[in-house]
Amino acid sequence: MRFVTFEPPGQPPGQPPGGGARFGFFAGSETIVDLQGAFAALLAGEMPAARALDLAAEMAPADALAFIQGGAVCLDAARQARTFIEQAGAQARGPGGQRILFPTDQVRLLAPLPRPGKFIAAGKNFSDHLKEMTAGGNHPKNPVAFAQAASTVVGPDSRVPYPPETEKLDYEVEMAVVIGRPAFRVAAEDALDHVFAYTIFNDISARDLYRDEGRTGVPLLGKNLPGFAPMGPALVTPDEVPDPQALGLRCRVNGETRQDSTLANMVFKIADQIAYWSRLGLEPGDVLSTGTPSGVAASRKPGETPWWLKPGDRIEAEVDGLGILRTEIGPPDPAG
Amino acid sequence: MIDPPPGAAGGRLGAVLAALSAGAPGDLEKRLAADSAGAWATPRLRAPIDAGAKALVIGGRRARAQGGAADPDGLITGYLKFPTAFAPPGATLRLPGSGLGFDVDAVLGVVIGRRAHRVQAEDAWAHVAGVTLMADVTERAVYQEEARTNNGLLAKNHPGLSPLGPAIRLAEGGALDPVLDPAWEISLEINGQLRQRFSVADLAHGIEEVLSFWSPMTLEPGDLIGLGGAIAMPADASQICSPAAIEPGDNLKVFCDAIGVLEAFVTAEDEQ
Repeated sequence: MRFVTFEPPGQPPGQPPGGGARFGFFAGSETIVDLQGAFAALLAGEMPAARALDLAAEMAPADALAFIQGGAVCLDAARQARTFIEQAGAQARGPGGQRILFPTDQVRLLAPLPRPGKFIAAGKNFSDHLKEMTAGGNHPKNPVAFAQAASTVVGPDSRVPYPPETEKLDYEVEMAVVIGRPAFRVAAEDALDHVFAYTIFNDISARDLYRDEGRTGVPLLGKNLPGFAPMGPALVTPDEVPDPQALGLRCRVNGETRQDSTLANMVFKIADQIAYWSRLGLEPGDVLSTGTPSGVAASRKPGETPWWLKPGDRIEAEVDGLGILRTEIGPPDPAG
Repeated sequence: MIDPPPGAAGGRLGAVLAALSAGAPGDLEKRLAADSAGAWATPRLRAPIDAGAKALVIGGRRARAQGGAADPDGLITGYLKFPTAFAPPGATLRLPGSGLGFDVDAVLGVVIGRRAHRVQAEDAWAHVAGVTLMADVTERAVYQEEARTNNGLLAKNHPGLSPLGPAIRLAEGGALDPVLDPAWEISLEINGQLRQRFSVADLAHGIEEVLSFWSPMTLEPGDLIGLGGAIAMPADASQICSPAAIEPGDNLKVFCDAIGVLEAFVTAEDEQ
């Protein structure tokens, strides 16, 4: 299934997540279903509407994190809701007559998981990226990663203001894993069983800050300025991604291809990364992003046209089977 | 002094602190009474941090070598601890494996009460809810390995190994009152022996500077900024705080007269 967090039409734009945002799923590519409304409609065929609404609130939460934390019970409710919608057709309505089906182009998509738990972002994990960024091209002995602040997550078609703190703004297309089952010290062969979904992450970075902070500490400002974590457009469950390790991924800026690679080039595979970072204790709703390939702006050599992002640039981060995540760089954000 | 209500679910603490920052202190008691009836009955404390918060602790591998001073460019650096890294007051810390190779630092934790985004240093106090204590536990070998690639994530984030608490001492008076008294001393004892001591005056960076510097990341109610021994520059150089090794069987205590005593006990997972 493909889950989204969306604002129905008629919602004042810019309302913070949770203030009217709903968790739902794609029924085909043209329709988005309000999950809780659809599940309540299903239940209302068997019980009083008030009871159906109460039960649906528990088993099919309107909040992405609560849904993921609900585990198999919630996933099962979602599958039942999908079947119900397939049978009920375009006339389907919630128990109170409310709309539960929306054309895709009428809703505003937010980040499908607006507030993750822990967000761990891998670095130095593609053989081609290592070659372009380090002298020896050798990879670290163990996976390396930094923490992404959950408050930096933004959704599809977001506009990231150009921060005053940097002159070297960069993009990175990545595939991110959302954890669905608690994982503590899991073996690599079991690791993918703990995945709730896959999605796209554009790891926007301020390379000058990143380099300076790295002299004595870990990247903080360099990876966590406002809007630095666009994610989406949807959370795609593993049944729709038969071979996640083989997916192609690419990044275009203003239509020009900058990154074009495959997840097969990962140094530490998805399962190995999950296993390693499970030493921290991974929980449902945690996100692990798996690294970016070559072609970032920081890789340009002197004499080559710089690729640093500037206001007005339009980025398309694409992972096969997961869609395209679009982000625009906005005007400079005045300091203070 | 306020102990976090044991019944408080994730997110509640941030909401309480934000309400405090916005309203009169008297509102807090009314709000807690309404939200958590009966929750005061049990004495068990939790680490005073929400599931969705972040803890930013200043200090890096060169901070100590430079005597805690910032990079010449004025850059403040440090690392992030997830809420899952923390342990409640009075916890038994079960260090992985045989329990060897772990260090601890005393840290003063400043708790955010009002959302702070690109704030000036002179406005910092208005965003502070209070202070607490932390025993920041690090796995030494992993820390050194991660430092080679300028990453420090696993070393600082083993689940449930860093005690936080015992409570949050709230700012009193108006928003402009400084919360930290330069004379306050924060100490670390292991098995009754003093291992670290620094005063707020010894810290190479004040909370105003650090909060302002990191506020572009957006600091939210319930977030925490840690200032610890790594950046303490006492007048007497022999008092510079080195990380203190802990091992199974140890009793560790971080305390400050103005805040309280944070205690924990150390064992190893391999022990019964």
